[in-house]
Amino acid sequence: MKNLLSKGWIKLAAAGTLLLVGVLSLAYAEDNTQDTSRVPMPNVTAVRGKQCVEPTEFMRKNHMKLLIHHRISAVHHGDNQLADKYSIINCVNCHASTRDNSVTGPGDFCQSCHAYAAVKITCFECHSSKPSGTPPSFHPLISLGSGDKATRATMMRYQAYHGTLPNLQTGFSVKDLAGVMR
Amino acid sequence: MKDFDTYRRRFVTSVLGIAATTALPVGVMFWQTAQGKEVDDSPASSKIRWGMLVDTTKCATGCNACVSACNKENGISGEVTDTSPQWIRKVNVTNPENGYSFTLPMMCQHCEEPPCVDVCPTGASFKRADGIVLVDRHICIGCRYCMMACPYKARSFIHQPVEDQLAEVPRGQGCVESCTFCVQRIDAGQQTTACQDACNAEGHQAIFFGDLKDPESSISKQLATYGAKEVLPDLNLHTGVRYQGI
Repeated sequence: MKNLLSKGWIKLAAAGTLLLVGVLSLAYAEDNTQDTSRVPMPNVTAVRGKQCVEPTEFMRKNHMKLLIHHRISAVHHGDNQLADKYSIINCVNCHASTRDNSVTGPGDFCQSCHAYAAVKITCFECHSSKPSGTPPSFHPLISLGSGDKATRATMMRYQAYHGTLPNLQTGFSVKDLAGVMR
Repeated sequence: MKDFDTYRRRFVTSVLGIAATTALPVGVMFWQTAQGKEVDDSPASSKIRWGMLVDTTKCATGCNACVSACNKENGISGEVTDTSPQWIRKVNVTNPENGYSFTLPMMCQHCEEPPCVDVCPTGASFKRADGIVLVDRHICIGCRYCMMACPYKARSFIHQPVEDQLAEVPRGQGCVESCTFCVQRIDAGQQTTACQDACNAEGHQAIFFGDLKDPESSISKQLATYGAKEVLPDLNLHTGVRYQGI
């Protein structure tokens, strides 16, 4: 009895299951290779200049913190929005798409990532999504070489804040510490 | 690579050296703050109070230059409907007893004691340290209490979605807004407003703008020479906008 079952019924069931799994995996594999997936991957290529105001990894996680800081400093403390490199005006100036001159159209810099993350982007109900004036110029990143991680981070912070590394030959002042000490 | 390592070492040494020498003054600064001394280093400083003087004897009837300049400066469409925003408007006044009439521009009076700030339930309506009364649109919920409270009817509510805003002047649906004394110009270091420039360009020179706390500013000298009145002075709001000849 036992032998009969194992020989006839189980074999058939195993073959059927294998076939089903094979067909299903094929179907899903085909689905995954298609370009039109349900949620398109964000397109974050639209940039002008060589470098963002902070390293890319930092910006991906923290751009909203910079913006909320700037929002308080600009509205309540009267910081010059045009001179503040963390202002939303600067974001738009560099990241507006060349296709539709905006950051909020389908596939544009802000919109594509926010659509992917399903985070509503309300900034541009009030703020202009189109670039204005001339975009600021950036210095290319220097090769940071070896060296310990903390020093490299300090140097990157310095460079991000001041645009370039200090010339140690000509002196180094207290003012230069802005953006380095936290 | 060797050059880079040398540079890196010198960078760290410099940073540490400077950090050590700044530790003492920074400590003194914290001590001062702890002792209650106000450290005011933001650009909008309470050492300044921005104010405006309008000479109604020079303000021309039928002239709308200040209104259109304001619209252009702040990205307002300028169309006149029941619900369209209006930051500045011309008001014609006639004394029924003697027939004396004049015209004046009316806008946010930038009160020292603003009723709009008193009633705002969220803190969106606020007065900056330099006396400019603003709406923080990030916080505004569009309840319009401030519009009820304002005795000068200076504020507008935005009913429709706004498109093509100017980069320096963000505006949008669902918020209240009013004259900002061209705050984007002031923060960028300019000392004039759009309405003042337009009035001067028309040759009327009826608008003066400047620092009320600086006795040497043109507006202070003008006030000292001719004097000027507030609109509704009995409300004791100590407005930043004064009118001459009313």
